[in-house]
Amino acid sequence: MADRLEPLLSPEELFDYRQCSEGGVPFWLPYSQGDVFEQVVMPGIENDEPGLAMLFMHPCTMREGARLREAVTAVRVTFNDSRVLPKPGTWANRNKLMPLPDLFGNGESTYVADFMLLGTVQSASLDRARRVSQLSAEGRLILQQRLIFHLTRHAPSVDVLQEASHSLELELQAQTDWMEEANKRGLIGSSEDVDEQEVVFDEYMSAPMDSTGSEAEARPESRRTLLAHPREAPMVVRDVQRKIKTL
Amino acid sequence: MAATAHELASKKIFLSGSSTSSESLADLLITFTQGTSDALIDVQWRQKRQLNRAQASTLRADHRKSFTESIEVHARELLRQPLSTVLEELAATWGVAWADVARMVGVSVPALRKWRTSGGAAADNMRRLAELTAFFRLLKEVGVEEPASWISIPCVSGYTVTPRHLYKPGSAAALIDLATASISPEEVLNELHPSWKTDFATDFEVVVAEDGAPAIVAKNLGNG
Repeated sequence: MADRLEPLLSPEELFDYRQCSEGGVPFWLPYSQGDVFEQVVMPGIENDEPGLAMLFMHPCTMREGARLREAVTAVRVTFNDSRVLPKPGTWANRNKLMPLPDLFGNGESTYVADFMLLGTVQSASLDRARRVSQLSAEGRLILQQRLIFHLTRHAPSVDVLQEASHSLELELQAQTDWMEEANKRGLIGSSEDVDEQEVVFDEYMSAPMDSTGSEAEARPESRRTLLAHPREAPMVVRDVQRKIKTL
Repeated sequence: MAATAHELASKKIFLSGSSTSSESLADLLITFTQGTSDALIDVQWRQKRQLNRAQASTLRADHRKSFTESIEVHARELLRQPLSTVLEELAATWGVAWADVARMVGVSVPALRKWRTSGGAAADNMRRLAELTAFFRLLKEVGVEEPASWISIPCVSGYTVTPRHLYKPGSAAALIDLATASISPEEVLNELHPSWKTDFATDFEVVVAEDGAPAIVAKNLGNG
């Protein structure tokens, strides 16, 4: 059991995608906990001025089917320092926030997601084209650990958090592969196309596993259900990879 | 009066030397201890244990070497293929999550996605990915039904450490030893991550809650 927070990761490990990184933040990336968007109005916070906000809801609950819920929780992201502050010691005893060193990938600043500025926003205000960053899988675990510690003063091990969220992470990666391939094949030209592909993906994951075109036995459970079972998960990963090739 | 087994042991007469000299020594001791069956049996057992330990050590080293060579053979073959094919094998054949590949090889998930699409990985990264893929192949060859699951199973109850945590360049053969039950989990942990008892101890476990979703609970309390 961890009795203290994990050291903060370097920006390169903390983020998978940032605006200034090579290729920016692809607009077809699935929404994920920890995504930061700009131009977001958070009612009741900072006089309703638009600003940076982090999608905060747990991945289990942020969706209704393939889509984000109409209203989701977000955390205001604020400027903290004009330097990049990735050193673990910098953040000792600063437990009410999630540090976001070099959020924009230009090596110039540190922002923080402030857990004290939490609110509900319309998911429509989280515009894919205005996404600033997406955390890495490790970054999301750090975020979850800091959040739990903020609320309870207990810091669960990131390994335990990783085990508990493994199937969600697998589905997120499968969806990203799906969207990437759809984009490569010219199936995505607009935000509506992304929405449509997300619905197709959701339907595929919600459907029972069949044996068509795969070595796997037909199963009555949905792919999503099987993904939650460690012994079955690789079979689903393989199945999705095969399906992606046929998009 | 013939020496007792304890007296012989305390003199450590037969705790050193090669097997040949041990055998000669044993012959001498048999002469010395004729009529003292306990002492004779003790000498013979000690000698056999020494020989077995030495033989086990040699066998283990040879066995490990054979695993390392097998991985190298597979890796060389994989390095002749485009990197996209190697990555395809990891995902579509072995069903490994990109995040696990990234952790085990020490690169980012976006880098894997980029290399899968357009290549461009440095030679050392290509080498590490080929070795990881070879590791999965060998796991299957030695009888691990689902290697991608196996790497995520905790090695010892009460600790979060899994083979995925232990994998690094040079550790694959030891992990194959673990997979084949040729070595105990504690032995491989002591070898590959000596501070595992402090680094990975946990009082919590993940169970399936009543709503069907995973839940973190304190150990021994279960989910009931």
